[in-house]
Amino acid sequence: MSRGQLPLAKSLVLVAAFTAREVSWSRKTVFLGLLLLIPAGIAAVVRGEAPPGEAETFLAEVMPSLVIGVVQLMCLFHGAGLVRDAMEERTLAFLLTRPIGRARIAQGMYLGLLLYVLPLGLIGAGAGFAACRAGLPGGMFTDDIDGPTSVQGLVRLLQVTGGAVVFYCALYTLFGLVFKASTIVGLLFLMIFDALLGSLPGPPRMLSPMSYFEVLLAPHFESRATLMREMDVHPMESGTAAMVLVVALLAIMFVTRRLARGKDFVAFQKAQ
Amino acid sequence: MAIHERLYSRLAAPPRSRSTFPALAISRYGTRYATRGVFRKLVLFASFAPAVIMSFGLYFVAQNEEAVLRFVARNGMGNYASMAEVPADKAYQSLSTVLWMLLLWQGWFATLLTPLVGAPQIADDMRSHAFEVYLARPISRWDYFLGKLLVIMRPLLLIMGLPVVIVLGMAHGFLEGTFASTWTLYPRAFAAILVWATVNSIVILGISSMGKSARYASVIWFVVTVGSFIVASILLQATQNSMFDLVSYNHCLFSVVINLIDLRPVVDLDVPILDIDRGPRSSLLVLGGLCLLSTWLVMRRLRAGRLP
Amino acid sequence: MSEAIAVEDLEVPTEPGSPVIQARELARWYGQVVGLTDLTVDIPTGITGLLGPNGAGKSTFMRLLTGQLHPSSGSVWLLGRNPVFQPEVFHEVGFCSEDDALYDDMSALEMVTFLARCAGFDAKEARERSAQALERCGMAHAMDRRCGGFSKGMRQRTRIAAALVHDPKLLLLDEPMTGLDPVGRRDVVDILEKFAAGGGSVLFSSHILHEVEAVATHVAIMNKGMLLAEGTLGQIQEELEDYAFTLQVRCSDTRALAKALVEHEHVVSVAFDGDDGASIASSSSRALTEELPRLALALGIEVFEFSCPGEDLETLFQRLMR
Repeated sequence: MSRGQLPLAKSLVLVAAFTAREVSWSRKTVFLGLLLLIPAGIAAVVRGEAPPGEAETFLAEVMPSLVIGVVQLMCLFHGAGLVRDAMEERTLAFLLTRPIGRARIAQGMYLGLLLYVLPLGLIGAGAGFAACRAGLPGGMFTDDIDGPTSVQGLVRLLQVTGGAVVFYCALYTLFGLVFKASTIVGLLFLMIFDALLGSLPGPPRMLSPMSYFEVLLAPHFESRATLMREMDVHPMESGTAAMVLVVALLAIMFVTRRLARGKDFVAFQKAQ
Repeated sequence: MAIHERLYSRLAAPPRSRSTFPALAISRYGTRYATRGVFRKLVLFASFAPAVIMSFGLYFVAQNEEAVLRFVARNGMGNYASMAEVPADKAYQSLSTVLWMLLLWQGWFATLLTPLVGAPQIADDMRSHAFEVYLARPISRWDYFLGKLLVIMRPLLLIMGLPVVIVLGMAHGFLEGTFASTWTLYPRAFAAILVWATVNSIVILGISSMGKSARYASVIWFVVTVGSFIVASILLQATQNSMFDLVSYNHCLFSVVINLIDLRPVVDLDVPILDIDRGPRSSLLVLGGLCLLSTWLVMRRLRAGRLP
Repeated sequence: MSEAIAVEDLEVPTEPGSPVIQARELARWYGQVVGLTDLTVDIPTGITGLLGPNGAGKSTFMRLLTGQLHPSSGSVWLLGRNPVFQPEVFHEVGFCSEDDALYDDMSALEMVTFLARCAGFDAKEARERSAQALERCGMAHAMDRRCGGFSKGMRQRTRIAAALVHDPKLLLLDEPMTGLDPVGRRDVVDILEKFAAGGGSVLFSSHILHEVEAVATHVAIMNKGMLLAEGTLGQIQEELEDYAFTLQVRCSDTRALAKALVEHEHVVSVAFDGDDGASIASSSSRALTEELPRLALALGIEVFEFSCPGEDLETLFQRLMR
């Protein structure tokens, strides 16, 4: 048996698999499942109620951002409580007293969260896309609306959704490490940075991570791109947006790693 | 002494020495601890910012009467030589619009404060097993429910009611002659705030009773309030059908409040999604249904033998 | 928390017989509340009992030992290594916390198997070891049941099994007897004794003085975040001989005896108790127990009865707490 720490891959796999199991094996999963159906539900209602011809255009403008928004909520729902719950329930001590480094524990828990949230996010995005386009005269993948081909649009939506899951899970896991009221702080972040700043034209949008994901979606969702051009004086290129997100993600993971090494992993009960 | 020890000694006293209802005892001790913490204090403090800003705005209006009268004339409300000449109904319209704008802001602060104060009420009791101790006291389920309700309502009434008093008071102080025609805004506003706080409190209690985690109760609350607001906005914009207003928890509350304060906006409020003329009946039905469901959830949890 | 950790704080050289736990000026505070202050101790091999009243700092010390908390100042080493920055030490250390925490959705076997895998064993070996550990802790009949349905005693046994599964050299147990009935406590004591007989070392905290006395070879007594005494019972007793205590005596002439005793500077006070009794408070038990018989003989006073401070752990504990 190795006398050093557990090898990196083994420790990450063990903690990730355990976390994915713990996260998925709960009643919260049912609620998340319902959340994921919201974009598809909205699409179905809009297509049924909206004037003919307008529904598809409207959905092409709104649906991608809605999917990312719901995915973000899912990441917040699980990510903000990931480490914090383990601390408060005092089960984190089991992992801390094994030959696994603290940073690896935090990274493993993040990977476990990804293992669970990523497939759900992709399913939600696919379901939303399908609900927007099912039953169209030209078929689901018709080119009549939006984008060079809508297959490309679906692929881009899934890619960007996946990227959003990776980014927001990392961000909210970090919030869970830093803040006691991590969920409230996460919700405030969502409301102020993504919802509020992201809807303002001009420079304030640059503080919203959501706006970068929208830039990535724009090439294949023309009506969405038009909306964004109206808001941005200097529209960003996809490559720049991707780079900013990658740098931000690396920064978040670096900070998470450093914090995990220096943090006291004991949550004390609030005075009642 | 821990909160529960003080509470138990109070509640366990022989009936003839008890001077308070159990619900009041629960609410008194609960409130003391519900508003602890930096975050909660921050929200409480920040919630007075809109009232302060509006007060400055009213002061500005009072100091620049001519500019205001030009604005009034430009918007087709008539030409007047001074504020005192503005008819009573116009004064009422203006102040009710100001009040409405204030309540919108305070409503969002209430949406933020409600889970901070309310989400842990029942969830933490279940988690810490304080629940069992409450139920072993000579108090009824309704005492417990009412007590917890009051814990949440107190800070909500504070952050909504006090700013209203400040703003209306400033308005009446700066704008002479307006009190006589607008004093009814006080009881109307308080009625609206009472409805708002009560509904918020009952719903968050119901959500809090669903599990042992205050964190997830907070998320569910935000999905119910902010999430439904976004969904309703999208559906309204796409379909132009005002029926989808009812999907939004906040829209239903706004509709009730608008009718309670008899809002008749003098300027376009730029709220195309809100059907002011619809009337509150359907909104009251939705909110009433939510309150009943939440009450049922709480009572279900409190029933003996249903502890998690 | 500063990342600039000095090399000498990470590891200390270990030789056979060197202490399994070393702490140097260890302190931890929570805002204004002091959890531990200036704790310097060497815990030797064998079974060491950590005693102290509630709030003494025992759990804080355990959490510092296991790396759950960072020290506010000072250093601590387990088997010569820093528990925070060298988690590989946990190959040889097992920990059972006082918190009633388990993975409620898993069965006992699944949970202990997972923790064994986290200690480096492959799946098959981890499962075998887990079954053995659970059997050793009296959980053979319930190892496939969900932890969420366990009684308090079963939960405690499962946690102890999780601490033992990887055959550590050092066991850290925070209040291991909590929640156990007398039979269960006896079983835990048996486990600890067998573990120590097999060459392992144990540090466990407890309030149950007679059980600590029965099983521990060394004792460390804490109060208010400070270490009051540490060593074998005999060593602590000897140290306390220079500490204050009160002696009760019944004799034929208490006034003459009292008059003679108060002239000695170590005698603090004398209080009469009836016609023939007295309580004598002294700053040194050794001096008084030497002086009293000599004075009684010299003055021709007949001593009917006197009570000495006990030598059991409870008396020592109470004297130190005063």
